Amino acid sequence: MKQYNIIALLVFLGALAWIFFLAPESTAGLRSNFLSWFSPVVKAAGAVQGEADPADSRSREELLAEVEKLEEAVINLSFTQRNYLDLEKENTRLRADLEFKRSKHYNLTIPAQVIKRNRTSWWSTVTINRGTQHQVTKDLPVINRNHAVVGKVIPNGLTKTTAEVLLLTDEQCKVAARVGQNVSMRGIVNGHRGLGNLTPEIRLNFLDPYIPPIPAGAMLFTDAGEGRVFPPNLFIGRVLRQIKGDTSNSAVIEPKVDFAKLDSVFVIRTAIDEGEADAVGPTSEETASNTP
Amino acid sequence: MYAALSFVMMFLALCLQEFIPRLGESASYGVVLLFPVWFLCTAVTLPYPVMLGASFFAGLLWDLRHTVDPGLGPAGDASTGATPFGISILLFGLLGHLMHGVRPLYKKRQMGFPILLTGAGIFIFRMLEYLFLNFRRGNFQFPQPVFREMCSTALLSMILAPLIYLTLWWLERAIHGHPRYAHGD
Repeated sequence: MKQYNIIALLVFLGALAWIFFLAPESTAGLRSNFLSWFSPVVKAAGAVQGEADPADSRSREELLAEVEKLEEAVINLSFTQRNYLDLEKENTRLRADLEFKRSKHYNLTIPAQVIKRNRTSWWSTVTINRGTQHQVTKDLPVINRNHAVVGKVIPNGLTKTTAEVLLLTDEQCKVAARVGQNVSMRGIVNGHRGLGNLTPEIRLNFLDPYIPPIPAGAMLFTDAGEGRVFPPNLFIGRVLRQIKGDTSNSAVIEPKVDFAKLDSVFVIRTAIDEGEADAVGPTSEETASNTP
Repeated sequence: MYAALSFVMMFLALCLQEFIPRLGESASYGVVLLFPVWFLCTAVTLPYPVMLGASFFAGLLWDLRHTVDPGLGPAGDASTGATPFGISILLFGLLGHLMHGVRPLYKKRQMGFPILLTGAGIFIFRMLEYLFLNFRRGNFQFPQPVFREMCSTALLSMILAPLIYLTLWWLERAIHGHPRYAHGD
């Protein structure tokens, strides 16, 4: 090997080591800057592949803006309505609770369109047309118009005008979940490794093996996990079948969201306070009716 | 001049990659990986030090586009399932070395083996990426659909290789007169 080849190899290895030892914040910043710069290509590719909403291609900007406003208003009003329906029950429960704290609800949502689906890496992600300038920040939950979990915003995928969303079908999108209102039927929902784009089914893992079997068709909702990424009572899906395990059981779930046809989504912007509980998402009656 | 142009073309390949859809179930959900194929073909045509530079450039671009940080888990803990930033530089570096070994065949315009090796390179790249995910996540899973997707992706990508080699051959000849052994060979 010639001398300058050895020098080139050493320089390559040195640069590689430098990249590996970069702080996560630095690499996240690098990636965000790159994605900001690269986003026109991503948007153009999404439009060519027809993944952008057809309405986006129309030139009636005012009409589109109005539709967006109306969608935002509809979903905010539906949340408000649900909040009022549960208000009396919640009030009674909270008054009885000595550790009552004022709760906040996710009454602020950001409507967004899916503009691109990732097809080349092992991750199940989509790009939406809302970014930091629309107050989208990292780890915010993303839902569809039926209050069903779509995924969450990836910390290092944010630009001013776009954000990457890790879909529920990815193995690394882990959500605390419970079956109906049954507090003993709890577990962690996550998708599949590398197959998130290929198979729509997801798994509910770490179920207590001593609880009775979950009947097929039971509805699954988000639970108040310690991470507080997802608010409680959002729809996740429906139980298809249960699988017995050695130390814990699991269940195969059919997601409520059709991930093959994702177009409009909503990013939940309001943070969740301590004490935030069942006042959002489906009403108690809805969840109780789905409890096995 | 050719080296500079090859870097520009790699970036263009990354842009074009965004426009390539994933195929359906009949093709085992394979996808044409234009950018990695372009890099593998380019690695054959470049002198060793420039090939290392191209590996670094390609790996960096790939990671900037595709490295995902999954963020907080359900217990509020930071996820450990992400691949570290820079791993693609290492993978592209390894594959670049592999491809550079068949540079003499490219010079003699014997393209059969380099084309096959390009397909194998894509399969190895996909496999190493997946194995590294397994390593990071602490348990080994290798379902059949994943293997089929890798094979399909490698085959589909390999189909592009002759066209890319011809383009690079033509380009190098247009710039240098004929493909030549440069410094570092």
